[in-house]
Amino acid sequence: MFTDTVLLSATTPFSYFPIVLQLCAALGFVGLTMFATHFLGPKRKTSDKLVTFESGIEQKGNARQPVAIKYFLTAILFVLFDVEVIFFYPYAVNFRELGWDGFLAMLLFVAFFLGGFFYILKKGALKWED
Amino acid sequence: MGMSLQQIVFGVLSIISIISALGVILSKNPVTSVLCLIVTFFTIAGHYIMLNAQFLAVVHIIVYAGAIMVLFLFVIMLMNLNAEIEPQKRSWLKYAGAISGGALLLVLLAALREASVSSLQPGAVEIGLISNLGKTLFSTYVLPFEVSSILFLSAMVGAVVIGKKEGHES
Amino acid sequence: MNELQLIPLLPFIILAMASVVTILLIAFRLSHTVIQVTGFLMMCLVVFATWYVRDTLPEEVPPLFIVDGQAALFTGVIIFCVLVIGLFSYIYFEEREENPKEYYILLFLATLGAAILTISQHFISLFIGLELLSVSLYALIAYLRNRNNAVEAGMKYLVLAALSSAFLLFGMALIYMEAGSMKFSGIAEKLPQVSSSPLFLMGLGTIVVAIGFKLALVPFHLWAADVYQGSPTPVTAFIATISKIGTFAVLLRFAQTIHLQQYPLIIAIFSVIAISSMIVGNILALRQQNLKRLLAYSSIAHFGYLLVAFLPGNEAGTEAAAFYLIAYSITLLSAFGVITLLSSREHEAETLDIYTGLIWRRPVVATILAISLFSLAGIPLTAGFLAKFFVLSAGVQQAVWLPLAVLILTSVIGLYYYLRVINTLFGTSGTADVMQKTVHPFFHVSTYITLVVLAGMLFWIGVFPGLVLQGIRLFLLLH
Repeated sequence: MFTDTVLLSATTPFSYFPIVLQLCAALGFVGLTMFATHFLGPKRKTSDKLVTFESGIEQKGNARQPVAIKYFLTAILFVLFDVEVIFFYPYAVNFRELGWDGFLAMLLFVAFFLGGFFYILKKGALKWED
Repeated sequence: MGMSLQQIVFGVLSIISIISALGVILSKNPVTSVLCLIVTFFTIAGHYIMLNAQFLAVVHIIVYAGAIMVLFLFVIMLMNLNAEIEPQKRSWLKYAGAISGGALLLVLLAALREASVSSLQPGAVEIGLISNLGKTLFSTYVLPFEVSSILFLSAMVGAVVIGKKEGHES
Repeated sequence: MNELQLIPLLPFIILAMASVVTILLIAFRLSHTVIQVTGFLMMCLVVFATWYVRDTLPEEVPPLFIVDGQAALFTGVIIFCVLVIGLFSYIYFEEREENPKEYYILLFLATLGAAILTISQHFISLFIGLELLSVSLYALIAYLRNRNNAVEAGMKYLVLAALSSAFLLFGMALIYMEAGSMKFSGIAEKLPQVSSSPLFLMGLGTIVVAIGFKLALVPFHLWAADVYQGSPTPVTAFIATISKIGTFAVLLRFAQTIHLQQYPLIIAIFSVIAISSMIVGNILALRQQNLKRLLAYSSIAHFGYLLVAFLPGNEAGTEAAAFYLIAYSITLLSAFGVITLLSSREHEAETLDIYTGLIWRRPVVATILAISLFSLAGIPLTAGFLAKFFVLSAGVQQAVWLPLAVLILTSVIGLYYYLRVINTLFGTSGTADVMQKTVHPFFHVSTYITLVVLAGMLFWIGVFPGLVLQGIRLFLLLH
C-alpha cells in the first residue's frame, strides 16, 4: 500500500527515496572498496610505483598546463544546447495537452537555436583544426 | 518523536551544503573548490526535491552539476596552475569584505527574526511537478520562454565573438 | 494568448527578427555595408511598426507585458538612439581591422533587452530583459578584445553585473515570498498587508542595489569610468543612453505601480543615492583628463539629477524625467559621436590634448562638441538647461528641498569641468590632425549631417520645448 501510494506516485518528494538509496549504495560501494583495499592489500612503495602512470612511457612534465580556448568555446556552446534540450522535457510530458499551440511555441524556440547553430557552423566555431 | 523525517533530512542537507559552500570559498586549491561546489549543487538539488520542485532538481543536477561544472573546470584549466598565482590581497580589502558580508548577514538575520511566518501559505505544492510546470510554461509564460531563446542566442554570439580566433574568415 | 494581443508587440518582434536576420546575413558572409544597411532598414521598420500600432495602445499582454504610451515613448527614444549609434558604429568599425559584423547582432539584442524592460510589468520579464541587455553588453564591451583594456572592462562589467543580478533575484524572491505575486499590480494589491514587513523592505532594498548598479548611481558606480573608457565608443554611447533608459523606464513603472514614493524610508534611500551621485559624480569629474571618463562621471551626476525628478512621484516628475532623458540622450549621442569621428584606428580620441585647439582645425566638430558640453552643463538656450529646469520645478512641487539644493550647487561645480573642456577646444597649441579616413564618403557625410542635426535639436528643444513636451504629455496620457 505504502509503495503504491507514496513511493510510486511521483508527486511527492518521497518518490525520490529509491534514488537516495541508490546513491547511498553507490557511494557506500566506492567507499567500502577503497577502505578495504587500503587495509587488505600489501603495499610496497618504491619510487617507480609512485610515479604518475603514463602507459609505460616516461613521464614528461605535468598536466597543469593551460589548455587552448577552443575547448572552452566548445564547452560553453554545449552548455547552451544542453539547456535548450532541458526545455523539451516539460514539453514532452505535456505533448498531447498542449496541442498545436505548444508545438508552434517549441518550433519557434528551436528555430532561434537553429539560427544560432547555423551561424556557429558557418563561422567555423566548431572546427577543431585552427 | 521530536523531529519528523523531513526535518532530519532538511537538517542534514543544510549542514552538508553550508560546509561544502564554505569549502568553496576557503579552499586554496581551485580544483577542491569546484569539487565542493559540486557537492553544494547536489545538496541544493536535494532541497528542491524536498520542496517538491522536481523539475528544478533535475535541471539543477543536469545543468549545474553537469554542464556548468565542466565550464568551471575548463576555466581552471585555462589558468596556469604551475605558477604561484595566489594573489597577495591587501588585508584591508579582506576586512572590508568580511565586515560588509557580515553586516549583510546580520541584517538578513534580523529581518528573518522579525518576519512573520504566517504570511507563508503552504498552498500549491504540486506546482513544481514537471507536467504542471510545462503547462504553465507553454501557456501563460510562453512569451518569456521565447525571449529566453533569444537570450541564448546572444550568449552564443557573445561566446563566439570573444572565444573564436580571428582571421579565419575570408 | 491570441494573435490580436501580439499586435502591440510588433515592434519588439521586428527587433528580435532584426538580430536573427543579421545572424543569417553573417552566416552567408555578406559585407559590412549590406549588414549595416539592412540593420538600418530593420530599425526603420521598427519605427514604422511603432507608428502602426499606436492606435491599439494601451494594450496589456498579460501577464508580463503592458504596451502603453509611456512604454512607447521610452521605446521610441531607445530606437532613435540605436539608429544614431548604428550609424556611428559603421565609421568606427570600418576603420578597424576586427570583424565588425557580430557587433550588430549584439547591438540589436541588447536594444531588444532594453525595449523589453520598458514594457515589463512583471519580475520575470524584468529579469529576462535585464539579462538580455547585460549578456549582450558583456560581449559588446569586450568586442575589440585586443586593445583599450577592453577585456578588463568587459570582465569588470561581467562580474559586477552578475553580482547585481544576484541581488535583483534575491530581492524578487523576498518580495514574492511576502506578496505572493511577481506582477507589479499583484504586489500593489498586497501592499497594505506587507508594506511594513522587514523582508519586503529588504527585498526592495536589494532591488534598489541592482537598479543602482545598472544606472551607475553612487555607491554602485565603481564600474562606470573603467567600462566607459574600455569599451568601443559607440558601445559607451549605448551604455550611457539605451541601457540606462531601459532600466530607468522599468524603475519608473515599478515605482508608479506600487507607489514606491509613499514610503519615507524609500524616499530617504533614493534621496541619499541622488545626493551622493550628484556630489561624487561631479567631484570625481573635476580633475579628469580623459574625456570618456569625464563623461562617465558626468553621467553618474546626471542620473543623480534625474532621480530628483523621480523622488516626487508625481506626474510632473514623470514628465520631467522623460524630457530629461530625451535631452540627455541627444546630448550624449552628439558628444560620443564627436569622439567616434575623431578616433583613429589605433587610439580612441579620449585624452584631452587631442582636443586642444580643435576649433581651429575642425570648427564644425568642435562646435558640436561644445554645444553638447553646454547642454550637459545646463547652459540656457540648450536642451540641458530646460531639462534641469523641469526637474527643478517637479521637485519644488513636492518640496524635496535638500536634493534640490544639492542639484543647484553641484550644477555649478559641474560647470567648471565642462567649461574646462570647452576652454581646451579653444586652446592654441594644437597637435597635427593624424586622421586618415578610409570609409566611403557617404557614411562620413551622413555621420556629419547626423551630428549637425543632433546639435540643432539640442538648440531647438532648448528654445522651443513645446512640441517635445506636448508629445511627451500625449504619450503619457495613454495608460
